Amino acid sequence: MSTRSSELNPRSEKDASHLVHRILKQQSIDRPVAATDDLREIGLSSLDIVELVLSVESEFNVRIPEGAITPANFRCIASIDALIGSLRA
Amino acid sequence: MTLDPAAKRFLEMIGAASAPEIAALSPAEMRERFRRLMRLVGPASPPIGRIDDGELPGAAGPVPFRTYTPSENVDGCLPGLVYFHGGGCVFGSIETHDGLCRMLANTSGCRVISVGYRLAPEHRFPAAVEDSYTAVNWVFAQAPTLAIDPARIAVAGDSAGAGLAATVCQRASRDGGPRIALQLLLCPVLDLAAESQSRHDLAAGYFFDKATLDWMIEHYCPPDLDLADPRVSPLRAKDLSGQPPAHVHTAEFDPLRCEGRAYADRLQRAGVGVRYTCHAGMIHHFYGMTAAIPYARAAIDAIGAAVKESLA
Repeated sequence: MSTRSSELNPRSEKDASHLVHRILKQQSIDRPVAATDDLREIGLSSLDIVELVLSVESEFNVRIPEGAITPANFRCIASIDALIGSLRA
Repeated sequence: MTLDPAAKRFLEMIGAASAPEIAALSPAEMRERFRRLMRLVGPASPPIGRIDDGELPGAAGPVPFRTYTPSENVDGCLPGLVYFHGGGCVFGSIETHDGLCRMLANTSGCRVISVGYRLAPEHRFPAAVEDSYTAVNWVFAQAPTLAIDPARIAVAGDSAGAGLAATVCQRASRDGGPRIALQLLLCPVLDLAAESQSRHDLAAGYFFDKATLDWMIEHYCPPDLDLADPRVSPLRAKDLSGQPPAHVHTAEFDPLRCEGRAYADRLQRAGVGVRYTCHAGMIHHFYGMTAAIPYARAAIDAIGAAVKESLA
C-alpha cells in the first residue's frame, strides 16, 4: 500500500528539493543542486525565498513561525528539510 | 510600537536572501520583481460584478483604464472612484493592483476606474500627473455614460499613486476643475524632499526603503526638477484650503508615515474634513499584500466602508 500511495503522490513528503528545483527552473537556472549547496550562491533571489517559504507552508501544511525564517534555515535543501522536519515533529 | 507578526514574517522572508542592490536594477527588472511579488502575496482576484477595459484620450495618446463594477449593484448609477496605482510612477500597473481594486470596488460600492497613466523613465514627470488629471476630467465628463453619479466622484491611490491623487485635487481646486467629492490616500508619497523622523528611523529594513525611494526619484524626476515642487511634493503646496475631504491612511512602520500625517494635519488646519488612520504594526503597501498579511483584508474592508459612508 505504501508503494501505491507514493505513486499517487510523487512528491517526497520529507523533501524540499522539488520546490527548490521548480523555483530555479522558473528563473531559467537549470543545474543539479546538492542538498548542501548554498542556494544564494546558485542564484536564488529574495523573491525566490518568499516563494519558497510560501510553497513550503502550503505543500507541507506547516506554518513557519516568525523568527524561523532565517538565512541559516533557508541556506540549502538540507537545512529546509531539517526545518520542515522540526515543524512536523 | 511593535510590528504585526505577519508583517514581521514577511520582512524576514525578503530578508532571508541577500537582496540585489536596488540602485543597480533596471526599470524592467523592478517591474518584473514587483509583478512577481504581487503574484506571490497580493490578493487572489475576488469575484466582481463586471470588468471593462477601455482607453480614454490623453494628451500624448490613449490612456488605458479598467473599470470595476461591484457585485452588489451592476446596473445602477454608482459613486465613482478614480484610482492611481502605486509603484513609484515606474513599476506598478493596472495588473499589479487588480486584486486591490476589486476589493475596493466591492467594499466601497463605487465603480472603480483604475488608470494606466504613462510610466517613467520612458515618460518622466509630468507625464503621470498630466494623464491623471486628464483621466479625472474625462470621468467627470463621461459620468452619465459610465453610470457614475458626478456629485460622488472620489480620487484615490496608493504610494506614488496617492501622491498623484493629491496633486490632481490641488490642481482641480486651483484651476476651477471638477468638484472631487473625496480623496483617499493610502500610504502616500507626498514630499520627495522630506527629512522626517520616519524617513530617518525607517530608512532600511522595512520593505520600502530609502534606496527604493532614491531609485524612483532618479527614474521619475527630470534631473533639473526641484524636488520641493508641489506637483511632485504636494505636501509643499502653500495653500490647502478648498481641498476635497480626505481619508488619509499611513502605516506605523512606513518611512512615509510622517508626510502622510503632516498632510492630514495641514488639510485639517486648512478647514478640510479629514479622517486620518495610522495602521499600527503595518509596513508600506500592507494593503496590497493580503496573502502575507491577513490584517490587510480587514483594513481594506474598513477603508472601503468609510468611503461608502462618505459618499452616501
